[in-house]
Amino acid sequence: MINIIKSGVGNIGSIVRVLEDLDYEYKIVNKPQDFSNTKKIILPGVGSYDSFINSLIQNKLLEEIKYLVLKEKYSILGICVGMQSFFLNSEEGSSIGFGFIDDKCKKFKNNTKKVPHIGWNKVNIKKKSNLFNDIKNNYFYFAHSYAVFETDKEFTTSTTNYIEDFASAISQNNIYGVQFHPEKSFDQGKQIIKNFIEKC
Amino acid sequence: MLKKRVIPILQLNDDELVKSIKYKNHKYVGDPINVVRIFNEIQVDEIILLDVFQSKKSLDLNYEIIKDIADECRMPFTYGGGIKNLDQVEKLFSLGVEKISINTSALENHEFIKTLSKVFGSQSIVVSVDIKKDFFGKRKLYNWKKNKMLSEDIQDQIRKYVEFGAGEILINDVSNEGSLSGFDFSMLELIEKKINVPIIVNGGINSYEQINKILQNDNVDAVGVGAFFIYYGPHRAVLISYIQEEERKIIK
Amino acid sequence: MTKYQVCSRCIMDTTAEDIYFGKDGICNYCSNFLKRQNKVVKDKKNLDELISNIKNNGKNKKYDCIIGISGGVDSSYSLIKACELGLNPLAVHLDNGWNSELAQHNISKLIRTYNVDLYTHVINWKEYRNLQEAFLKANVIDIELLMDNAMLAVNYKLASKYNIKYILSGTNTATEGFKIPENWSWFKNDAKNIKSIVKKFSSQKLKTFPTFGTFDYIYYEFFKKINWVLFPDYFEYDKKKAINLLINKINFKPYPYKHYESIFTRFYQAYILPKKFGVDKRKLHLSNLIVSDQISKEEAKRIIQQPTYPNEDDEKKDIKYFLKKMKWPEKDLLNYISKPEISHLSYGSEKTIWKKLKKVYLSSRLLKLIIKKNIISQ
Repeated sequence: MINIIKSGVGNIGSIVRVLEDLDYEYKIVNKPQDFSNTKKIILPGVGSYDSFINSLIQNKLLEEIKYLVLKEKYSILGICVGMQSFFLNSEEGSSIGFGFIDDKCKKFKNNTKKVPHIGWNKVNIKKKSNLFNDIKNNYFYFAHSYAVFETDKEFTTSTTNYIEDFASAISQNNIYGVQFHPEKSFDQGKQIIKNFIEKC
Repeated sequence: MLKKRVIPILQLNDDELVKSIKYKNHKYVGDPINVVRIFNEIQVDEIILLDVFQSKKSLDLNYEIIKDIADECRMPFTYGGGIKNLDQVEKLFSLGVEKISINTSALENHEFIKTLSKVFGSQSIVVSVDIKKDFFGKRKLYNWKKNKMLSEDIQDQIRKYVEFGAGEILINDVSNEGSLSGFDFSMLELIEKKINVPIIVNGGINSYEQINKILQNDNVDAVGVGAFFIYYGPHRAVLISYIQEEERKIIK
Repeated sequence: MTKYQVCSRCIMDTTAEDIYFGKDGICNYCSNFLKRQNKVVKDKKNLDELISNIKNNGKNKKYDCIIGISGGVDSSYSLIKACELGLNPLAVHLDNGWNSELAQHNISKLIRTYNVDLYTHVINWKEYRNLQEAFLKANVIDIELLMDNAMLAVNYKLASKYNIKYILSGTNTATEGFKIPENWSWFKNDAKNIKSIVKKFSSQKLKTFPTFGTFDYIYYEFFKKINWVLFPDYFEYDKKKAINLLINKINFKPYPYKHYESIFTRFYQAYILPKKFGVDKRKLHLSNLIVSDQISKEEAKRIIQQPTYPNEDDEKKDIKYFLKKMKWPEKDLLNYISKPEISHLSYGSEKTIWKKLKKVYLSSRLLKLIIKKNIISQ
């Protein structure tokens, strides 16, 4: 049973739907005791950085997830602010993230284009990854004002261009993240989730 | 490259899909679940559903129909109508709504925008602005709930909304909406270049050429289409359609 | 209990209660079809006459004919043919809240390419759901009676409104000419049956739903002189060729099987009919194609061996959607499937009135013919 984290402002409805489309069983996790033995976690994220992290702290999930990922080697897929939380921190707020990856999230410089970055944009694969197996259409839906701009680092799996290049997907060992919303990106998004569950 | 978006805008009256002309005479269109299902199969860029009567009702939002509609969407779904507090918004996001749109609440209380964007992030907050021509043909801000033209300057208002944290602005040309008489391109002059959030415009569109022409404007990021994607021909026959890849000329 | 038997020529079998077989094992469906076909062959010469009549009648009118379209092959092809022959049709579509994306796509392409005006009658979904539920509670076989009856009402009413005398139906004897077995469906003009079932099983009345009964038929056909024409009988109609033409001309998206332009119709034919009523309508359609030399019996047998849903996933999706639309828990569906069939005749019906009036009419025509003959021979 795939673990789906429900943080205060998480959009679990859409993820749940995609898992049902794929015929996978899932467990909605509200507190540490809710985790199933399946070593897969999906961390969907809607909301501002601080409210997201604070909600995880309040539900005692931040520490539990850290433990499961680092010690029990659960694979985790972070979506949007879920992915951003894997870094040290974000310019959006003052909270400290999981810190799995040694880098920071910054705001788009909005002098040439509009911010937030909203809509369908192209994902360019930089590093071979099972996450992108069998993807037939590489346009995905984005909605964010903050991103990770270190695109020449090892963790960057794909980049997308908006004002400048940013990391649209990341991976480091058992940690995966996508800045876009696979649960709202039709078949190609469904394939990302399928790949995470079956191949990562 | 970020693509410009073409977004069907549908009107809800509780659990029925309706379509108005100039926000009046709402006519029955069909079952929202089936219509949204069709749009999902067509793979539209995203979809906006506005419950136009909710702000006048005392009952809370119809979460059941919203969930049923969200169930049919594998693309982003924006819901608007009667949103007054954070609890409603939290519930909407948990049901699978991607973004929320506020209109009357924003008009009545700018602080609400700030609160929402602080908690949920501005990327999920759309503020909807109704513009109507007055007796002299001058464009004014319009409060649909009170059926009043407002004296505030339109551009000031939009600037304020952005300042308070709106992630997107949806500009509705009420004088033209539902009419299929053609988009009024002079509306685009209202959009200041310095407004730095995505802008969606809608009202009266009646051809693919118009959609493309609107998207050619540098200040516009998306176009909302209502009647043109729901109706066809002189009898306003209900027929769900969209713009096909071949017809789309603009990629930003 | 009759022993199971299949026709030696087509694939109709004893699930059709009124089937009987000749000495050579050929069934009455085959032989009746061939009889009807011969009549149709004569009519094929009359296409020019029909078109000319329609055009003459349509002079100075907004439209000269009505064509009901569903997004399916037959009605789409009829519309194209009508346009190519220089007619000026009003296309009519009935929306009951179950339209598939395929249907909307095909209709859209069709009318835009041929620049045809469209009229859609939208039935209030909540009202329609209520009607369907009444029919399900009644355990009657012909749930589609609702749509078929409403289609008649809408087409005739519209023809009357625009003073049009011709309704061109996409039905033809080539792919629908086999008379449907009596126990597989019900008399389509039975407004009384609809009203009786709704009255018995629903608390709500009919509001936006239009009905059509025997007296409506008499009024429109005899007083308003509106003709319901089986249009494809007037020209060569080969289904496969028709599909290819539609793909070429309007980028038509074909369906995996007949009538799959409505999600409910698909569910009804592929799930409800076989599972609850033991009826597989494909036998009828495929037998039709065998006897009009459009497919071989071997090919038909191969198709009929396959499950009614092209794949299991589609069946699951349709069940899920049906339950969602009807607001039914799964157990209600299983319960419904297990209940025995109840005849439409158990509820009020105007079938007997229709039959009586038809008899009277045919007798009077026969009488007139006899009199005429006598006068001539004198």
